[in-house]
Amino acid sequence: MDGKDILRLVAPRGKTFHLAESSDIRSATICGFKFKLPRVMGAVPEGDESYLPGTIAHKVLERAVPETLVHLWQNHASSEEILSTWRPHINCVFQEYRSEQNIGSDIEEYLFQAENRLHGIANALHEKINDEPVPTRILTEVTITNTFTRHEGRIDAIFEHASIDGIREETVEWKTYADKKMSEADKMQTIANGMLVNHRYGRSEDNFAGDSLTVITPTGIQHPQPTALAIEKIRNAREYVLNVLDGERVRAKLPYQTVCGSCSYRNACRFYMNDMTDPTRKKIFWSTRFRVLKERERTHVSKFLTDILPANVSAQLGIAEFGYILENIGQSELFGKYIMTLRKQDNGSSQLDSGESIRAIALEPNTPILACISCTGNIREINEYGRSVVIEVNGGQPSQLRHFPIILLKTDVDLTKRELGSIDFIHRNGGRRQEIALALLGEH
Amino acid sequence: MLNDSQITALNDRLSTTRQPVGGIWGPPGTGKTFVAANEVVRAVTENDERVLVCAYENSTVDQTIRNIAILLQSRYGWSQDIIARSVKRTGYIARAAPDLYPYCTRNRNELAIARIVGTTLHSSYVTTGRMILQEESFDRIIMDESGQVTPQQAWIPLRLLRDSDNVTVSVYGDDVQLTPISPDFVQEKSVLRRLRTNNERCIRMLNTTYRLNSPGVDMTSKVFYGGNLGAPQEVKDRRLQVNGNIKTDQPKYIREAVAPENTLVYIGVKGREIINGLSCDNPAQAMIIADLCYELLRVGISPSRISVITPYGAHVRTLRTTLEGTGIACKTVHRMLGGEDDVVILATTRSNTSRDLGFVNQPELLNVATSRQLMKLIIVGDDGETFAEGSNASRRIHDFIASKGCMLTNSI
Repeated sequence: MDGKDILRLVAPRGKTFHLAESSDIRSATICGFKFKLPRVMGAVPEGDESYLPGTIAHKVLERAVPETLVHLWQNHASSEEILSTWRPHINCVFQEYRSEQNIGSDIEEYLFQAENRLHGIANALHEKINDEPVPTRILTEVTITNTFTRHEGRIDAIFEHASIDGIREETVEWKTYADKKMSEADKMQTIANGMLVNHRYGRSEDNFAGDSLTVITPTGIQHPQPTALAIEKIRNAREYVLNVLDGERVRAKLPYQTVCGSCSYRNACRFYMNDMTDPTRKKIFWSTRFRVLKERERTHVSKFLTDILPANVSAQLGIAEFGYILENIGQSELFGKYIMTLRKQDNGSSQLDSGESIRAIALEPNTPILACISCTGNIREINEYGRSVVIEVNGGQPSQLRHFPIILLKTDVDLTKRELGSIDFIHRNGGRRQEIALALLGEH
Repeated sequence: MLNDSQITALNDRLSTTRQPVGGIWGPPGTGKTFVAANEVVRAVTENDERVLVCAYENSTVDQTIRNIAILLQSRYGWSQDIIARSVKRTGYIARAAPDLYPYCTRNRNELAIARIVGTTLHSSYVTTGRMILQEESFDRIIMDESGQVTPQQAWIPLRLLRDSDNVTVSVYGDDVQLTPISPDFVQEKSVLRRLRTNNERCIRMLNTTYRLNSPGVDMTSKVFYGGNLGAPQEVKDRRLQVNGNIKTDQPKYIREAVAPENTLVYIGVKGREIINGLSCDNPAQAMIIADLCYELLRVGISPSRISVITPYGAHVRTLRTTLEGTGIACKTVHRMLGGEDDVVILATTRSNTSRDLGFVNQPELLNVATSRQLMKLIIVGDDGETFAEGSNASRRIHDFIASKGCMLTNSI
């Protein structure tokens, strides 16, 4: 049996291994093209860097919240205390951005705005931690994949509260934009993430009985309602996204044209709606795009395999390795990344190689494997003849893996966004660069 | 000093009548990265161009940047300070080699004044998040390892080309070594393969290797490069120096294999392969390799001069366990791409009745596996027909060694 045979066995019936991300679903609920333009055509959002303050603030929260929130909550911290506790993280993230920008750029203005938004978030959080009991557990940056519905998302935080019936969860999203009112699309994304959280806790995705949704914004806290209508809309959008990725011809649902004026893809949209490219070249660009989408699909295969195959088979196939525990967490001297050391507990030795991309998954009891807490990273070193594995963490909070048995799942890094971005550029820009691109393809 | 084929390739890429896209096809050890560094340095110093250096792997970018810095200092007398300001390494700099940290930056001001910027293909244009290079433009792109690069990957840096008719792209590589694999698990045509197939006019071949001694160079040339690859006499005559005598009580196949005059050796080993998940293992071959390694170490060859390679991950792990504590590097053939060593021991792993070589039947993989040695290549394969008849390339290698090399077996 070779790789192809195994894939045929585990592939979703009549479907592909593509996954719809919650952010894709968010875009598709607004406009079919708003999803397709970046994710299939490869268009890059137009406009300036005004998104930066939100991105910077989000990055600070990713770093600061896991390390500080429980302590702040236990002490009913004021918003000033919250900000001062976050200060080292704020300084660290701001410094990273300052070091990369031109001196003449608007970075200081962006950082000022980011600081303001963090202040708003701290105010909102202060109210929450003052009014509510401390959660029994706070999880951050939880990536959940549901291979049955082919849906994936990264949840900013899950607060677990003790209740009479056991655990009650709260799906928490940080929204760091300046708008006073939360957009309909953001509500949809939060509900879509809530559906993944329901899957994590063993309920059907539309059963929000034990789950509440919370969005913390600089202007206050909001609680989107997962109405039957909203869930239906999300399911339709998800189906549309998956059909497009599966290569089926589906008509995009377009919004009222009034919203198009503020869309960050309006030039790309106009181009593709009325694409006058030479038909032969157009065919070349589209076939190249579909090759890239196929590459993206391949990056998800190991998830399906791990979810479907018994553990020992995954291990035998070399897709996953079991029997690790977290031994140590440190930080890279030069680049500030987390470095975690895992130790193999079962007298075996690692079959992995340095440089490989992995997802380290903490095996939480009664939780689907791809809904457990995890971190992504790259293997930096294999020591002691495979009994100790040093990992450079790229995403997730390694401290959350403590006290759980850990599996290492081999993954492929998805860099297809950049490849699609280049195809979009070549498609939309003629001239010498398009000639060179075609020459590299051997078509000219 | 450049040789004739290197000078021709370089002049072609720097002439005013050059093609917008040119390919430099460099078989193993022909100095692709060195020629690429020369092209960069001359384009900058003689034509006042701004150059982007790209490759698929971080290590290849690093090597080109290293060569550029050496050339700028030795040939043009640039000071370290000027080189550090003019040459920059960017992208995911956590992956850059530590000796290149003085050149590493993600600061846009520093990048704006650099004349030469090196990064991986995928980091050359980040579409969202922290964009580093998107405000820059270049006159020339040098793309190394293009034998492993798909068109969609090669297109990523193109948007950084200046919008002008004088811009040019030079692709370096060897598509007869490892090629990209498609999502459908089939070999995909790399950009260099596409150029060689469809636009041969824009290809220049580097035809002199400085790695392979005799008769290995003739084997590689005949089997993979249509007889067009040669080596200078001093390279052909290179032989392993050993301290002391090879033990007389060792089996004949060990003594013969270690003897310096035998530079190209095949040892046929009894012992079948073991399928291990999607991979494959062969403990019998591992045991023979261990014996060979211990004898090589005993006659004074340091472990850093020996590499053991095999196409299969499971076999690499068995070999690592077998050679634990010796300091000898065991790796997959893929990991050895671009590398070389004085002594290379290749385990073919596969040994079965159906002559199934698995993915060892890819000529590109066999080419990489049999062209890493500076002084000695020992192939440890099956004693039946798996390697001898498994594929056209493996048969030709087997036949060549039978006629010009040293054919041994452990079964006597």
